[in-house]
Amino acid sequence: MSGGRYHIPIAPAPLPAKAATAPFRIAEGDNYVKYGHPVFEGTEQRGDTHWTAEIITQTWYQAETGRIPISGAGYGGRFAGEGFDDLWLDMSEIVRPTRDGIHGREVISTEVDLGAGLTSLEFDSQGRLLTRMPTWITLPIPVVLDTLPLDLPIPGGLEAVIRAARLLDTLALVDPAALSSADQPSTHWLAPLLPPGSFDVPRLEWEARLVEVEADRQQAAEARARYPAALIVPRLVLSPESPQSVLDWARSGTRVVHLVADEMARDTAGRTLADAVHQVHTRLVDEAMRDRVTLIVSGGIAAAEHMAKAIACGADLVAIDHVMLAAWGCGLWADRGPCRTEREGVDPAWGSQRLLNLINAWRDQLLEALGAMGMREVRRLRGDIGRTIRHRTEEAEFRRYVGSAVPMARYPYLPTTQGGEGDLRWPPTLLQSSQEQARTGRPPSGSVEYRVGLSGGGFDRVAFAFELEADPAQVPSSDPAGFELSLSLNRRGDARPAIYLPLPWYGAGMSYGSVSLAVMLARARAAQHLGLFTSTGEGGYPEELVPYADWVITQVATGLFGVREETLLRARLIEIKYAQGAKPGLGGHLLGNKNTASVAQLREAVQGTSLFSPFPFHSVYSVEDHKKHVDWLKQVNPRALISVKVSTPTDVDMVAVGSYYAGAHVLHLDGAYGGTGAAPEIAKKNIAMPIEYAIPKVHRFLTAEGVRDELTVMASGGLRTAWDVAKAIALGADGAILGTAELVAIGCTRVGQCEKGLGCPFGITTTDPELARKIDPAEAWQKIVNLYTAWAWQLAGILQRLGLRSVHQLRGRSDLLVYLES
Amino acid sequence: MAEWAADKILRSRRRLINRGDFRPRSPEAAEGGCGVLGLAANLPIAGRHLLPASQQMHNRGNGKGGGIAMAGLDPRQQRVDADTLRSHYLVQVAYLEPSARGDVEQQFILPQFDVAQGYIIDHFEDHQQVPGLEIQPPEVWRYFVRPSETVLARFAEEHTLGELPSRAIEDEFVFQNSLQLNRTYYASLGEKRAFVLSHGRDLVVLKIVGYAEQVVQYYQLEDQVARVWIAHQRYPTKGRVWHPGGAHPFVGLNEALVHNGDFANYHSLCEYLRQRNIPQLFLTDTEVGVQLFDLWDRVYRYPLEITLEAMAPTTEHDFSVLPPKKQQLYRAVQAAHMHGSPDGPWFFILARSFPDEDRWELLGITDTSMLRPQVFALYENLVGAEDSVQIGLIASERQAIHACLRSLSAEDARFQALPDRTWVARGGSHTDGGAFRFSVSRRDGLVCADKFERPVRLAPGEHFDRRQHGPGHDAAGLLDPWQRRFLHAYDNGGPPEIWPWWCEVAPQADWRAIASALQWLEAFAGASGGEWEFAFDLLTLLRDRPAGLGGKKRASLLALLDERLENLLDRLCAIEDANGHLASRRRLTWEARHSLRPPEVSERGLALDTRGFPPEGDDSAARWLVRAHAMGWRHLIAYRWRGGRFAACGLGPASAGTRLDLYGDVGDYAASGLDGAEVHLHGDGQDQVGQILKSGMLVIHGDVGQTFLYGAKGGEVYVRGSAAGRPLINATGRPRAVINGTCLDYLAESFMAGDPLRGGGFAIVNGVTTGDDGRLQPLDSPYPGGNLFSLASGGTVYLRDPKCLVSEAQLNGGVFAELSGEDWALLEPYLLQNERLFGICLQDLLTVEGQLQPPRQVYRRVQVGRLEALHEREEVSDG
Repeated sequence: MSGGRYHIPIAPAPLPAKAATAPFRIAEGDNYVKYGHPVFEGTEQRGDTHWTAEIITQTWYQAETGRIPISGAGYGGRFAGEGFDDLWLDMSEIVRPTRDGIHGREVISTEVDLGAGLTSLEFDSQGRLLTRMPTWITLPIPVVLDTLPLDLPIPGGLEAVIRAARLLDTLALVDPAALSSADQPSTHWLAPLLPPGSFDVPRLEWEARLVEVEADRQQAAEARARYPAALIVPRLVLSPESPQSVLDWARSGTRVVHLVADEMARDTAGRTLADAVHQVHTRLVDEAMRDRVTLIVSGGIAAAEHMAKAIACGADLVAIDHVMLAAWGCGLWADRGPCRTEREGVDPAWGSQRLLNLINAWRDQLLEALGAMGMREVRRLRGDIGRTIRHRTEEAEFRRYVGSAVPMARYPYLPTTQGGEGDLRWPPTLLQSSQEQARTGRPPSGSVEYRVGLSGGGFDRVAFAFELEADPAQVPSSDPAGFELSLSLNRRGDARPAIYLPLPWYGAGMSYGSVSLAVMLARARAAQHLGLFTSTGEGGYPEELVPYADWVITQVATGLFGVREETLLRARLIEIKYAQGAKPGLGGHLLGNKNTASVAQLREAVQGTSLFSPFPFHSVYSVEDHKKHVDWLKQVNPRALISVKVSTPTDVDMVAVGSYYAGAHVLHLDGAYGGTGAAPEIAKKNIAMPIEYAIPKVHRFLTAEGVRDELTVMASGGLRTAWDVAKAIALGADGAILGTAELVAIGCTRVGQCEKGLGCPFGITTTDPELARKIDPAEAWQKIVNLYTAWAWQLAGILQRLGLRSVHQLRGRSDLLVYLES
Repeated sequence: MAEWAADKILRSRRRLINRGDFRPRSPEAAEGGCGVLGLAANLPIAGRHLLPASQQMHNRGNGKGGGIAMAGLDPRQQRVDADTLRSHYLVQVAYLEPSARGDVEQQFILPQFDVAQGYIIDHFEDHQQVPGLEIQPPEVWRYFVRPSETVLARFAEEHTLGELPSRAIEDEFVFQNSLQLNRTYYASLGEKRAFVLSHGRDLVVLKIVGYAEQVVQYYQLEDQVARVWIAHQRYPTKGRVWHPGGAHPFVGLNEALVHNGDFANYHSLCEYLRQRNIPQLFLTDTEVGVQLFDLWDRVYRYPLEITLEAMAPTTEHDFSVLPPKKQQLYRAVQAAHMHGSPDGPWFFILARSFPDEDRWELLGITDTSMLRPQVFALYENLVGAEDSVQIGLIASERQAIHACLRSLSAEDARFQALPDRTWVARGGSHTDGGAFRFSVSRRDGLVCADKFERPVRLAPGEHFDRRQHGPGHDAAGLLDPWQRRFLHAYDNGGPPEIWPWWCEVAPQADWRAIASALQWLEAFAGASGGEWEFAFDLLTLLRDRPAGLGGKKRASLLALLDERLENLLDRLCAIEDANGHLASRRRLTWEARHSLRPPEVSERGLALDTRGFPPEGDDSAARWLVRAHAMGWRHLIAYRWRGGRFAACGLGPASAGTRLDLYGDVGDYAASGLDGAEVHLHGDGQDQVGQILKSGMLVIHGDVGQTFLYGAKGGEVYVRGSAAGRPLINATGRPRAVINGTCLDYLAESFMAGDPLRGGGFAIVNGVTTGDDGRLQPLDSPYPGGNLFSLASGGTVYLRDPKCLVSEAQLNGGVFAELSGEDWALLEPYLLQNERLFGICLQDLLTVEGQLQPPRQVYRRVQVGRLEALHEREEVSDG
């Protein structure tokens, strides 16, 4: 099994018309509910905290298509949450690069071993193996199918599960009493789950490889006698006693244990599955027993990221239950409606295909996550909490850094609405106020909330202390001419040119392909007008931009599309894009239908095929390679400044200092809520840190190293307003880089369909020439200029309220902020 | 059942672990690559020979950690007798606070050990005497010790280790004693006063905050000798480092390990070790690396092959082609050790001593994905039992190997500046396992073997001996036929005319004749004009093209040729020389660089002597080449290149019509960005060559390194030898590459270069090499890697694979197709150009086992198949 490639056959398996599911989707074009978007038109109903509408509809999508949910625009959901949402997966960057595993570009193994139970081997003096190897089971994926969770049998359900287990080459746990002789050919993939007192497996000749027992030691002993060749697995309810009981079972020779949480992924004491499992894992490590036992974990595993996170917390593999019902179209309890699947059953061929599709999509997402973490074996992820980021821990640190805390209720919110356009990061009122500024060129009128969104964390949880006492309807505003707002991009004092921007921000990279040429031109013209920058993104350098070359950053991204000496020599600032906040650890991805003739021509690729940029740079696998890479670009263009764009792993401080020593002028941190033309949902939501945590981490580390003043630190990834910019600077950045805000100015409402060629209803993120006409560059550039003008007045206004004259004085002044406690 | 000895040893370490111990989640400082040079030789090598290589790899470290390991020491230099050196442990303690010494000795040395010798090792009183060394290195005391009998007996009894061989008990005692010393006086979170640098037998480690060569200088190791050396430049990302605890090497017991890379699963590896009572005190992944090795090697007593498999498991295609028994064994190793095997990019180099066998070893292991560069090399000159020299080297770059050999050859005529053989390893490969060891002993000399214990041998051959063949004397008209031939060619057709004759005489000619002939040629050349051009072109031709030498070693010929070539170039008229108005070529040196000016009408070329130019930056030779090009020089020669990067970068888009010839060790990123010019590398290329190449021609008269032609968009590229990993990754547009050897793996991943028959790009992989007889011969497989054309959406790979050795399983997204007439019409001109450049005849390529075959029987086409992921489209409803 260690050789060869594992392949799951996927096929379209749409829901039959009769099983029309609850109307989760807000619009007909949506494939599923995107994070932070409203569901159930006209209601706030969102399922429960665990089986959310997003999770259920994404499950439907995956079961139907076999594909990873991918969408455009940044993550719009809650900042963080409980349970699995309290954890992010870390990614590797430069110093410990990721693996380019997606679609088998590099093989990442998802194989797991059950019951090997070995800590070492013994050899004789001739080098021959003496250890008698136990029988163990190898599965190609870290997932087994648990028994269906509902009491009432779903007609066809069991058959679908059995068939899926066989085709996936994994195991299905089944009640032997429910089997018939028709299941005989599949018994290799079936593991009987013996209820208390039961041993009989009627009608089947069964060489069971694994047998689960629900009851006590005595039953386990009897099962062992009955099935001498099988692994006997106790099925234990996850509880605070689990560490001791697993240890006891392991010490008495049990090699596999199944721990079962409830359907909300909690143990009997209400602790999260992640915490409870990690405690079991740690105890086993302390007792030197971890390698002797395999842990199967189940209960509330609802999404691919849950699988990855459960494993990182100490599980070897997971068992899935309720999500199988969701795969068949059941709305579980999120829709509060009747479940047709339960009543009417499933067609076994269709039902198993839906499971195959789901697991394929899960496996691909696991590959994305493992790739981002830089791992090539899921077995090595087990218990590696070093590859996770704890929201709780980071938040505590953040809170300490910000200083004083006040109850959130004290913050004077202006009216904020939810529902309709936008999401939690960009609620409708924020879209509205931004577009108002883009229209008028003046600060917002202050009738609706213009400063913060509803994400519940980060910038939405900190405020300038003066805000508590002020009337938010009186929008701070002052003539920028009276303030120092400039940004220096070369603080190294090397021989390269000094570049000063009049405002402490500039435009983010958006490739030709992710947006239309009209949008690129509008951004470039706005940059020229304001004396700022915009960036080519990674899709090459359209000739139409050449007249604006002084204000255009040439981006060098991992795909190297369109990067030539000519385009490098054109630039005053070269941006090396190592990673992107919205998809840390993953390369760029342009779906086939956006790769039109003109896009393909600029990238010199094949029209109509999906274009993947690799990850990482295959010429940069280490920080020393990173220096070499920077040196190369400096060699090619001796007058250019170098910006290094990275996302936000926990060791972002190391990446930052590494970039300083590599000779970068600008460090560009792109946080996890950054925008994207197309990114897997799992990456947007679950990998790396929000920018709010990264900024202070980097600022403080560079300060302690004594090099802070030699590097310009720019922040991006979910910055929406002049207020966010000011907060980012107060947290320690020198300035901000903006993408989505510019698109919002020209009409984006975060529908999140940027990945589709014809998807963007406003013609912004499209490559369709017809649709692109919706954007008039002449009008659009003015809107961007207007928005930024309004921001400049507000930023000056904020400085005035703070009693500062210069934006430089604001940097790192976290003492001016307060933390809003719930 | 009796408890296994290994378990007893591990149990005896229980006291070293507390349950409440700090649990590391990640290493203290992330670190990236490093510059490493390791060597093993059958004779003692002095430390000064590590200096040039270390200096040339400065850019792979950042001066925040330099380290040295030495094994196979000289007893006199160590101030002990040979028996003591062999039998005693060399406990070396670094005193970060010299005042800690009394306490340390009272607590951890004197009560435990019989001390045969002890001293503070030599060093400069003032560290500023070593140029550039900013932080005072620690005071290092070296103790030659053995545990006292009573202490040892108590230790064995306490932990019931009695049945173990006494040396094993002793080893373990020393190991644990050092651990406790470090715990008390170092520990990552506590005060850092002293720590053990090394404690093995006949093995020492020294490290500082600085560069590796500064270790040699500060501790005055220039004249100290060892059989095995490692020098390591560290690149930690943590800026402020005040002591060298985290620098490499780290030790197990009789082994020292250096590391290039970073573990992705550091935390769980620590947990793996924790279960075996092995605590981490230094919080670097290198510490973990050597702890794993020591555990498997010394405690579990695994055969080396098993330890290597546990480190770098064999997977994918490589696993599937192993024999079934080996698969079974490896699968068992993986089941037991996958949780203990490091993930992420890494390679290790280990120096090991086996004092009881009078043997020492240098071992290199690479991760399975080839994410770190590592080059192996072998050189031997067998000139009689006493005088033979054999040396094996491992380094981050070829240039470091050459620098070391150059240094040796300058002192010792038995060495040449180039190795006999250089190769790149691929971790977990089924062909060699990706790990190689050089073992040296007084009895057997140097033996090189791969993971499967298969020896790597050099064909026997004779090196040129500079001592015996003093240049310049022509004995008895030996030269006549050569002279006649040279003069004839000079008058008729030039250097190519000589080639067939050279192929004929080279195998028979003796070194003396060849050396004298080249000497004559150099004299004939003068300083300019037709004779000079002729001689220069002829020497270049002989350098570029391997001919059969009849048992004479090519490395010697290359050394002779390089010397002549450099001499010829040195004679060119200096650019600042006002009297040289008739010179057609000019020479630029570091000293006169500011005299650079545009060429006069009569001047066709400029030669740049790279001596003195910094390897990178605005004053680098590479930048001065760009300036010369911008001033209008159209033929540029750069020579004595010593590892500097970015050669032929930055010429810009209007460089068609310019030609660059590069001689020496051209460093990474050569010709990256090339857009128009023609570049010849007269030798091997290193890593990242030809990145984003847009147009022009690149010819490499040797092998080339990792990620060759990454993101290339066009151009014509010819490689005489092989490419390492990931050539042509993400290439688009229309690059056309001919690779006469093969690639390690990941060829043409995400290739997007359209349809070659409609103007797109392709790579031809011939899978051949030139044998020692000068003839073309097929490689074992035209493509050994497990991944070919992964996720490619365009372009084509033409594989010379007449026996269909490459299987479908190696493709991921690609499919094999038969070569069409149209294909051949496209390929033929490139193969003919390949013939002109390298003398690799098209007809020979089409000959299979003596039979001329039609092209479609010889070449296979790997083209785009339909891969689901590439045709991912959203169904868009417009309703």
